[in-house]
Order: sequence, then structure tokens, then C-alpha cells
Amino acid sequence: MRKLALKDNVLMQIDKSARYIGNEINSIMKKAEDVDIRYAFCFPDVYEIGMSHLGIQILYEMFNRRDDVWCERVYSPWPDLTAIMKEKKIPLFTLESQDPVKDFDFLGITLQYEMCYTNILQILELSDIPFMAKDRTEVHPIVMGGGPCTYNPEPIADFFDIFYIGEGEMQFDAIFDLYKEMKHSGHYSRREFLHEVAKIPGIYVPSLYEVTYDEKGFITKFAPIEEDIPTTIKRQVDMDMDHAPYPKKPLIPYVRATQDRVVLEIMRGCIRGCRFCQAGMVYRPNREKKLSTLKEYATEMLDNTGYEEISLSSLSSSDYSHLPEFIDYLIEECEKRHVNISLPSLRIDSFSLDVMSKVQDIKKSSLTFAPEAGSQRMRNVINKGLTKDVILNGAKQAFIGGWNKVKLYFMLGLPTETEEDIKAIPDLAEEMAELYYDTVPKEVRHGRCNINISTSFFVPKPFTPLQWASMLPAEEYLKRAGILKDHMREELNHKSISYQYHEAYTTVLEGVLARGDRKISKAILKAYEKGCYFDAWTEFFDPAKWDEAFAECGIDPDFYTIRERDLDEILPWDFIDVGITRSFFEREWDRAIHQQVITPNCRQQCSGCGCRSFEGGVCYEG
Amino acid sequence: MKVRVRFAKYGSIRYLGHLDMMRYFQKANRRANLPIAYSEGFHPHQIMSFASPLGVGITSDGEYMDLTLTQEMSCEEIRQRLQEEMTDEVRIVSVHRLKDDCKKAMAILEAASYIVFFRSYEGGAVLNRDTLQEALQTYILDAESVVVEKETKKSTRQVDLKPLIYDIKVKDGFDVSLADTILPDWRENEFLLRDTDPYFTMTLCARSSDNVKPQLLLAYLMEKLGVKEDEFSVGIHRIDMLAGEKTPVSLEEFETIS
Ligand code: SF4
Ligand code: SF4
Repeated sequence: MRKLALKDNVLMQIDKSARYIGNEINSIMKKAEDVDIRYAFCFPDVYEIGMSHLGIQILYEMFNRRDDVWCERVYSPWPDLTAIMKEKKIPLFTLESQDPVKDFDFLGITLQYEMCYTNILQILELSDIPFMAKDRTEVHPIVMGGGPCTYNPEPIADFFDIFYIGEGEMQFDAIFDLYKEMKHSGHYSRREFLHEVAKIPGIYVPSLYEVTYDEKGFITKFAPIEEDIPTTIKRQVDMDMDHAPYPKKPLIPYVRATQDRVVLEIMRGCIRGCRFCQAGMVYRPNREKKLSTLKEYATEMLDNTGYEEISLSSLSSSDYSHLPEFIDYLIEECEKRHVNISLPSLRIDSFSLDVMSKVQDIKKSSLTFAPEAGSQRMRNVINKGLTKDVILNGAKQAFIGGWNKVKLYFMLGLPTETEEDIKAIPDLAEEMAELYYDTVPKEVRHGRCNINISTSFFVPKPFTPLQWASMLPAEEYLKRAGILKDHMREELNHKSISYQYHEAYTTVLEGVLARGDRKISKAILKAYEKGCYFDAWTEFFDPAKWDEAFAECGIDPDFYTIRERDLDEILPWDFIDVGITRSFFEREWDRAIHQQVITPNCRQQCSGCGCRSFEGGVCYEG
Repeated sequence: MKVRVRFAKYGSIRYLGHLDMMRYFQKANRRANLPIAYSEGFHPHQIMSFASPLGVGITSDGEYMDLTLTQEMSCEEIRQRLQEEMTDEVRIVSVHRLKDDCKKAMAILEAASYIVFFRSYEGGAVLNRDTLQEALQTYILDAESVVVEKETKKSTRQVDLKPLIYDIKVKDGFDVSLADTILPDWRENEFLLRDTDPYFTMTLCARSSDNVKPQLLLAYLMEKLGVKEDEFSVGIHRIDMLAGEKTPVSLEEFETIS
């Protein structure tokens, strides 16, 4: 039988032991002695979440196509196993070979959200790799970070040897070739390799840059310490979506993962340009896959996996040019195969309602609108082009079609927000409820309509037009949620409306981790030492420990959150060139805060963000 | 057409729970391109049923899944197609055709047979064949009743296991035919499977209302022997499942027609 890193007595003690056994269908087994490079790919959260991530599956496929590389996977062991591993000194292992991570050439960690930062340290500790990059020696794997959080890698810069900025499809071959060549030639040393790899486009080696601050904590200088190291790091973008590697035989987890279905990426990027949305910026330009590519992938992936459901992945599927044709095709194919289609939130209009009525049970499903702000003025600020008429019209058609459950998503704490803007949220829900009772005659109603408002608190993200915005203290967020709630109770149809809001403290912490600088890493380490990990899980999140960690490290979180930043301040992430010009961001900041006007989307009119330089995608349509 | 699939599972896949195993087969059936019948409705599901869930950590040579197909297909072809979609740890032992009006395996299941053996570890009790034989005789075979606390979802109740134990023996000298299948798994995990090591074979009631888990019986016996909970650890292998009230036969043979 396969050798397992955990013995039977351990596996029988822990919850969901199948998370740790590997050997899933379509997982790739090689012989360690047959390859030159062993790569451990890590998603620093629990298996079910990590296995649902498309990006790892793409790179897993791509890396393993190479005969000289064996890419394996590793996820965060759940706290029950973590405790046992520490007690029994069992080193963290990959799922495929079950070998210790510390014996690998690379440990690549994908960084999808800030709240997983302490889990990076859990992975390093369990792997027996020093937390700080500077303390690692020739015997340790090269620790690499990638994913959305690398658009400001500074708060975790001390923990990583390398960051990869942009889409993984582009430079990994160059990295592997360099590594292999240096190893073979006998000239390899960790220092030499890091120095050479830093010259590959998109690669950021934090130890080769120095940051200086003034006495108030502002950055005064950010520069490479050696002359042949680039001063800016350019985001890597794959412009050939139809030939990009794609996992046509994705791994099929035994344990039910969050995404228990075929996930088909139909395009990358978004044409909309909402000003709070980092993904909408850093995946520019919008690039679609061809209809023929998607048709081929859809059927092939269903055949290869046996999944009973397929879902489309993109930032804004309604904007995919051939959506109607593609959905027709899918409906036909899926009916034959008894496969369900799960549609990501489409913009509600007559087309999407028609499609949804075909693929889901109306009585059970709910409709989702994401106006993000309650008043038109506020929506102008964030560049959400949706108007009240469009929302209500969509809702009306849906009510006629038989739906009576609606989910509405908003953000609170947006820049320039007033009490009026907050109250506009329940007012919109009220109008919607009234519309339901006016539209749907008593005889055909299935009881009350059910309008659920959900708010998150706004976190300004790097490389968005709102990156300079200030945040609010946690109490203020809660106060605003309170205003919303009180006002909702006064609405005529308040019994048809419900309200939920996100944790306020998590938001503040996310704000610090998203826009922090290198000084933050001490506090992350301190928080971890105090026992923080799995911070993205409410049951484990402990704000008091974070407060202590910041205090003990002499860090004032408000410096990173409450303060509105000047346009001429050096931002920690300024050394990254995402392909969007600084002047575009400044223009958009002005249009948001001062002019409060909408900027047309990429299909209506190009606003010259700079991404034409990538020479493709939506910028060159028509 | 209805068929009954017998499969064996060894190795790391024994750590899958029952629901995950069902999901594993749902996908395998589709990949094998079997003409599976589906239920009606918005979210159709495959018409399949398992004889009895297997506990996490247990290996088995006798697991059963009944399938309904919409087209005729030879049993051998079904077996081959399924086998191709299995991981190296699951073996499709056989596929038999069922009478069209047969009951679900779950409903006719009468008993299940097991092998139970011990792990040797620091702090574990050392049990020899004679001690076990004596205890078995005194506390089970010669006893009037074998009353244990059985936990159900709602409460714990007292159950007499005696009438639910169809057969139980202490043995040593392991069956060499198992050498390629279950032995490597368990040996890897410090389980004692040398010639001289004692083990149990048992056939216990598996009716859904009166299912007896081997662990329950072992715990009873160990308590009588004064062995504490942390002083023993058992490995379990299911040999087969049986149906028919008087003289139960393997599910593989029960009401199957080819
Ligand atoms: S529609 Fe707006 S919020 Fe959604 S992905 Fe595009 S830019 Fe982001
Ligand atoms: S260059 Fe124009 S079309 Fe291209 S992404 Fe930027 S705004 Fe959109």
C-alpha cells in the first residue's frame, strides 16, 4: 500500500482523515528520483477550501507536464491534527508522496486573502522551515508566494524568498530552467539563485530591496540594494487564453470540497472598473476564451471527472460575449448527461431570468443583486453603473417569474458615505418589497417575499482607485450597521426584510494587512506566537490577541487604516507595475471623490488605463 | 436492469467515510459511462444503494452497491468498465444481475463477518491466545447475556448482544491468502499479524435495526478482562455481508440470477 505520513492511530483520532491521504482521482504520481525539481504547492487553509481553488489546479497541471518537475499539494492541517503533529514532531508532508515539505526544492504558497497570513507561519513551523527568509540556509526549500495578495506583499515580505507577481502561466518555466541549470552546473547557492531569479520579469525578491522610513513611519525610499536588480516589478499577464494550460483532468477530491463541480473559467478580467474592486483592476485587460474552446473543455471535463455539476467562473459572466450561445449549448449537453448547471451571479435581466428558470428550482433559489451602495450618489462614487430602475425592473420581472427570495449585497463605510446613503439601503429593500406585493396578486403568492440585506465593510485595496481612502474604527462600522438596522425596522414591510453584517474587527485587521508595510510582519509573527491561526474562521479568530500583538510590537493599526493617504505619499506597493498607469488611478480617485461621476466600461469607451500595452483583449475589440 | 456490485477496499481509501465513498462511486459510474437510471426532478440523482455503511478505518473484501441501469449490459463489461475508473485501492470483485423485483441489499442484509486483530504499541496490553479464548468462553459463549450500552442518536439504551452474535472464534496463524491484500496495510501500522498472534473472526447481526459493530463487542470483552480503553487498539477487516434468515449466504449469491 501507499506509504502514509500519518499512522493509523493518528488518522483514527482526527476529523476527516481523508483530507490527508492524497491519491485522489487524477492526482499525479511520479518517482522522486526521476525529477530534478520537487515543488510543494500550498493553499494555506483547510483542504476543502484549498482543493476548490482553480489557480492551483491550473499550475499543478502545467508544472507536472514537465518531466523534470513533480508538483505536489499541501494544505493547512486542521487544529486537531496540528496539535498532534507538534506533539509527536511529525513534519508537514505533501499529499502525493507523503514526503516532508522541508525536503522539497520549492514551497509555493498561494495567497488569496489576507486572513490566511498566520496560516503561512503554521505551514512553515510544521515544515520545520525558519519563519524568516533571512534565517534559511541551503537545506531549506525556496519559499515562494503568489496570488492576489502579492499586489502588496510587504506585510509578509520577511517570510518569503520570492514573490511571483501576476499570472503563473508566464514565468515558471524560466524559473525552473534557471534553477535546474544552476543546480546542474554546480554553481547553485541560495544567494546566487535569488539574485538571478530576481531578474526574471514579475519576480520580486524582497531581500534584495531596502525600505527607509522617516521618523513618523512614512516610507522615504524603496530601492534595490544592488545595481542589476530591477526597480519595478511588472505584473505578468497571459494574453493567449485559448492556449493557456487548463486542467482538463482536474483532481477530484474524495472529501466534499467547497467547489464540488467542474469549474470552467470563461474569461479573465472584467470590463466594469468598479473603483473598490482589486480583481477588476489587476486582471485587466478583460480576455475571453473562444466559444469553441469552452465547448470542448466543458464536455471533456465532465467526461474526465464524472462531476454532476458544472459552474462557470469569471469576474462577471454576464459580460461574456457569447454567453447565450454557450448556455444553450450547456443546457443541451447537461440535460443529456444529467448534469446540473450552477450559474454564478449573473446580472438580473430577462435573459438571465429565463436561463435560471431552466436550470434551477425557482421556489428554492434566490436572486442576487449586488448594488454595493444604496444611493445613486454613492454608486457613482464607486462606479457601480447599476441604477435603481434597472434593479427594480429586474426584481419585478423575477417576481412575475415566480421568485420571492432576494439577496442584496452592499458595502458600508465607503468614502464620503453619509447617514442618508446608509438609510437608502433599507429604503431600496422596502421599495422592492412593495413592488412584490403590488406585482404579485395574493392568490399566487407563496407567503411573504424575503429580502435579505447583507453588508460588508469597505476595505480599500492596493491598485484600486480608492487605494488612498481612509477606513473607520470598528465601533464606527458597528454604529453604521446599527443605523441601517434601526431604519430597516421602521420600514412598512420590515417583516419581509432581514439584515446581516460582517465582523467589524476582521475588516479593520484586513485593512492593516492589505495596505501595511514591512513593519507589519513582526506583528503577524507575534500574533501567531500567541496562538492565532485560521483567522478566516470566526470560531478561531481572536481579536484580543491581535490587539496585544500590535501593541507589543509598537505598531499603531490606525496609521494604516484611519489615515487618508496623500497622493504624493510613497505607497508600500508602488514598486509594482500592474500595467495600469498612476495617472489613471489618480483620475479615477478624483472622479470618485470630487466629481462623483461614472466612468464608462471598457466596451462602451476605453478610458486609457494603460492596459493596451498588453496588446490584446477587450482593448482591441471592434 | 438491476445489478449488484461487490467491491473490496484496502489501503488509504479506508479513511473515507460512507458519504464520501458514495460520492466516489457516483462519479466513477459516470466516468465508466454506465447507463445509470436517474431519479426525476430538478436535481436528479443516480438510483444506487449501498448494503451497509463501512466505518472509517476499516478495510473490506465484501462491500455491496446495487445499481439500476436503463439498458442491458453484460455483467463482465460493467465490472471491467468500473474497474478502469477505480483507484488502485478499490477492486471490483464481481457484478451480478438481480431479479427485477428483488429487495434492496440494505433491506435483506442479515449479518456481516469480520476479522479483528490487535495493534502492538508502547503501553498496550499484551494478550495471548489463551487469555482471549478463556475470556471469550466465560464472558460471551457461556454467558447468559452480553449486555452493553448502545448509543443511538437520541439516547443510550441497554442491548443484549448475545442473540446477535452468530459466530465468534479466537484464532492464530494468519490466513496466507490475505497476505497480498489486507496484511500490508495493517502491518504498516503496527498491527500484529504474525503467525503466532491471536485474532478474532466473528459473524455479527447487521440488520439495520440491530447492527452490531465489532468494536462494541471487543470493548465489552476488554472491560471484563480489566484492560483499559487506552491499552488496546484493534484493526478491523470486513470479510463479507450475508443475507437470508436461516442459513445466511453471501449477498453476492442472494437472489442474484447471473
Ligand atoms: S463588476 Fe465590478 S465588482 Fe464585479 S468584478 Fe467587475 S469590477 Fe469587480
Ligand atoms: S486600456 Fe481601455 S479598454 Fe483596455 S483595459 Fe484599459 S480602459 Fe479598458
